[in-house]
Amino acid sequence: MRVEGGRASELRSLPGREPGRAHALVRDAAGTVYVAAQGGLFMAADDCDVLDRVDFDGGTPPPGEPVGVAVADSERIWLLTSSALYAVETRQFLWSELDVELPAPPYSALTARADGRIEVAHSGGAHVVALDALERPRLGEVRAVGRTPRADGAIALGFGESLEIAFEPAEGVRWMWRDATRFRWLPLEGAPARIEFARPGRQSVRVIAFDRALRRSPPVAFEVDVAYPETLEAKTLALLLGMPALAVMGGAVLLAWRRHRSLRATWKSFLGAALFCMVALQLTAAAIPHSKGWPFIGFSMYTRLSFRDSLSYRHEFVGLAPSGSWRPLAPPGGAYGKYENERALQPFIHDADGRRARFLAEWNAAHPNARLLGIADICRRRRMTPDGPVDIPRQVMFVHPEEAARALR
Amino acid sequence: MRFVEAWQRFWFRPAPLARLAAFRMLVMALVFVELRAYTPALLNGCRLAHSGAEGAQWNPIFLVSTLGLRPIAPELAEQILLVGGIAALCGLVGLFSNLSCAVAGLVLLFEAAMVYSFEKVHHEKVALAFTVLALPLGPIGARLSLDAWIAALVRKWRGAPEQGAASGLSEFARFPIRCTQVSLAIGYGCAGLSKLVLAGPRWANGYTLMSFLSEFDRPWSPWVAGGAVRMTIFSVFALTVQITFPLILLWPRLAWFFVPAVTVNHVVNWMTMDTGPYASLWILTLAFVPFERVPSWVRENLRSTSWFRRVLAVVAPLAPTALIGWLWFAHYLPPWSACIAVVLLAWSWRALARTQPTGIAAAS
Repeated sequence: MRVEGGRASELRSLPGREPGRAHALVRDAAGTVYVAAQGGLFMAADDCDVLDRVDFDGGTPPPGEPVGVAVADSERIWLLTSSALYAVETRQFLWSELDVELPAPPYSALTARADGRIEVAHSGGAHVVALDALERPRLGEVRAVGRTPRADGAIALGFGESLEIAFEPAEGVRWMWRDATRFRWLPLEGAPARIEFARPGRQSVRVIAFDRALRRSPPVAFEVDVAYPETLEAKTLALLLGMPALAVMGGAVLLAWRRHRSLRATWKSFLGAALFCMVALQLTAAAIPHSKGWPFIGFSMYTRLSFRDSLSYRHEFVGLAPSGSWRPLAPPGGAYGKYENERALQPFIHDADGRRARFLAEWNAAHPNARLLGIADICRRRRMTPDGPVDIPRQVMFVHPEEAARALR
Repeated sequence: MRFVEAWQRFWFRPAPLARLAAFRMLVMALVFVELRAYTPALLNGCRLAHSGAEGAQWNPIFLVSTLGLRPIAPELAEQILLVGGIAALCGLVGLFSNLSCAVAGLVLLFEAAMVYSFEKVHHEKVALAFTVLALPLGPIGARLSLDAWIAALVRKWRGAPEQGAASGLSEFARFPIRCTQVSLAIGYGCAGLSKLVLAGPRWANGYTLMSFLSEFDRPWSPWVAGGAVRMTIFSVFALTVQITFPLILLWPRLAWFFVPAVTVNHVVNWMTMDTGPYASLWILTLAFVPFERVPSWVRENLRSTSWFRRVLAVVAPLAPTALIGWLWFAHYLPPWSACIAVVLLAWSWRALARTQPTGIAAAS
C-alpha cells in the first residue's frame, strides 16, 4: 500500500515474484524506493504501481533474507540480510559482501544514523559501523600486454586476437571491463586477463576496479582497432572471390562469343555470370555473423532470446527546465535517436571526464533562452509476463547535479 | 549445361518493357525519398566528424575502408546529395534514364555506406542496393520515359516507321526486377533461418518477440504485446513468412500472400518497435507485381458480378498506393508534391493500359 498526499494506492507484485513480509524500506534522493522483504530486495517508484523484485547481476541474490536497507549514495545502497551486510550497486545490481567486523548473525535491522554511520541490530543488541572509513579502491597500473599503441592511440589487433590486460592484484578489489558502447560491466579474470572482440573495427574498452563497498575507481581507457578477418583482406578477397568471379564472367563471355559471335548474346552471358556471382556472394555473406560487408550482409539481428520475467530497457535523456519539468533531449552522437541512446549516453552514465557538467555548461551557453538546471538518464523498464509486458519501476542511471534528483520525485 | 540454360532462362526470359519502366519509376521515387530521409544522419555525422566533437564515431564498413573513403565536409555532402536527388528525379521521368539511374544509385550507395560507418549497419537497403546496381544495365528508358518520347519524336521527324507491338518485350527487361526479387528472397529467408539456427525454435516462445516489441512506446504496442500466447502466434507467423518467402520465386502467385504479409510485418514492427518504416524494403516487394497487367486486371474485376472481386479490384491497388503515399508525403516530402505524384501515377497508369502488348501472359 502506498500513501501519497493522503491517498492510498495498492502496489501489486508480479506472479512468482511476491515480496512476502516487508521488513524495511528506504527512499533515495531520486524517489526510488528499495524494500527489504522476505522474497528479496524490491523496488518501487512514484509513477509505477508495481513492486518489482530486483534481479541481481549474475542471477544470484546475496545469501540470506533481506531485513534492512539504507541509501549509501546515488549509486549504491547497503543491504542487510539475516546473515551478512552487503553493498549493492543500483544500476547494474552488482553486490558484494562488506569487509567489516560484525557480531555473529542473525541480524534483524539496519538503521542509517545522522552521522553517516549505520547501525546493525542483532540478537545481542546493536553494532555501529563506519563504512565511509573504508579505503577507496586503487586501480594501480593497468596496461595492455605486449602491445604498443599506434600514433593515433589505438592498439592494433588481428581478428580473433585478444587484448591482454595486466593489473596489480589487490585484496578485495574486483576488476571489470566494458565495451564503451555498452552499459554493463563484465568481470575481468585471469592473469593477464583477456578481452575478446567479436567484431572488427575500432572499439573502446574501459577497465575499472570496484572495492568491496562497490566504490569504483576512475576508468582506464583502451582504444583498439580490430582488423578484418584475413579472409576479408583485399588480397585474399581478390584471390578467393575476385579471381573465381572474373573466371566465371570471363569464361561466360568467351564461350558466348565463340558460340554466337553476337554482342547481344555475349552481353547476356556476361550478365548471367555476374548475377551468379552476386547471388553466390550474397549467400556466402549471409553465413558471416557480422554486418561490415554491407551490402553483402549477415542476418543475425533479433536473435537474442527472452523468457518470462526478462526485461526490456529504454534510456531517456532528459533535461530539467527552470519550471521544474523535465524535457526530452538528444544525446550528442545519437543520429539514430533512441536506438543510439544507450551508446551515446555511456560517457554520461559513467561520467567520463566530467561529461555531465560539460554538457550542461555547453547547452546553457548555446541555449540562453532554454537553460537547463540539470540532466538525467531515466531507464524505463518492462518485465515480460504471460499477460504482456508490464511497466516496472524506472532506474535513474544518473542525475546531474545531485540536487536535481529531487525534481524526479 | 542444363543448369546454365535454366539460369539464363530464369533471368532473361522476355518480359514487358513497360513493367521494367514502371519498376524504374518506383525505384527512383524510392531512391529520392531515401536520399532525403538519410540526409540529416549523413550531414550530422560529417559535421560531428569534421568538428572533432565528442560523440562522433567513425567505424567504416568494409566497402568504405577498402575504397579509402573518409568523412567528407558537410558542404560537399550536401552537393553530392543534391546531384543524387536531381539524378533520381531524372530517372523517375526517364530523362537520360540509364545515366541518371546509375548516378542516383551510386549516390544512394555512398550515402548509406557513410551513414552506416558513422552509426551502425542496418538491413533495410540491402535489396535496394542490388537493385540500383542492376537497374542501369537494363533497357529502363524504353517505355514510360522522356527518352522514349523524345526518341519517338525524332523517329517521326525523320519519317522512320513506329515500333511495333512485338518490341514491347525484351529479354533484358526481366533481370533488374529479378535481381530485386532474389535479393529480397535471400534477405527474408536468411533472416528467418538465422533465428532458427542461432536462437532455435525457442525464438517463437512469445517472450522474445514481446521483448523486442515492448522497448518503445508506440501506438500499437499495448495491443500487439498483449500477451505471450498472442506473441507466440505472431512469432510463428513472422518466422513462417520469413523462412518460406523464397518460395515466391518458384510460384509467383504466392505474391498475393507474401507481399501483404511482409508489409504487415514491417508496419507492425514500425508501429510497435519503432524500427522506422523500413520502406526501402517492403516497397520493393512490389517487384513481384506485374505492373503492366494491373490496369486490365482492375478493369476486368470491376466488371465482374462477384462483389468480392470488385472490392479486391479497388482495394488491391489503392491500399499500397495510399500507404506509400501517406508515408512519403506525411513524413519525407512536401505535401504539395503529392499532386505531381498523382499526375505521374495517372500518366503511367494510362501508358500501362495502352502499351500492354499481346502475348504477355505467355511470355511471363
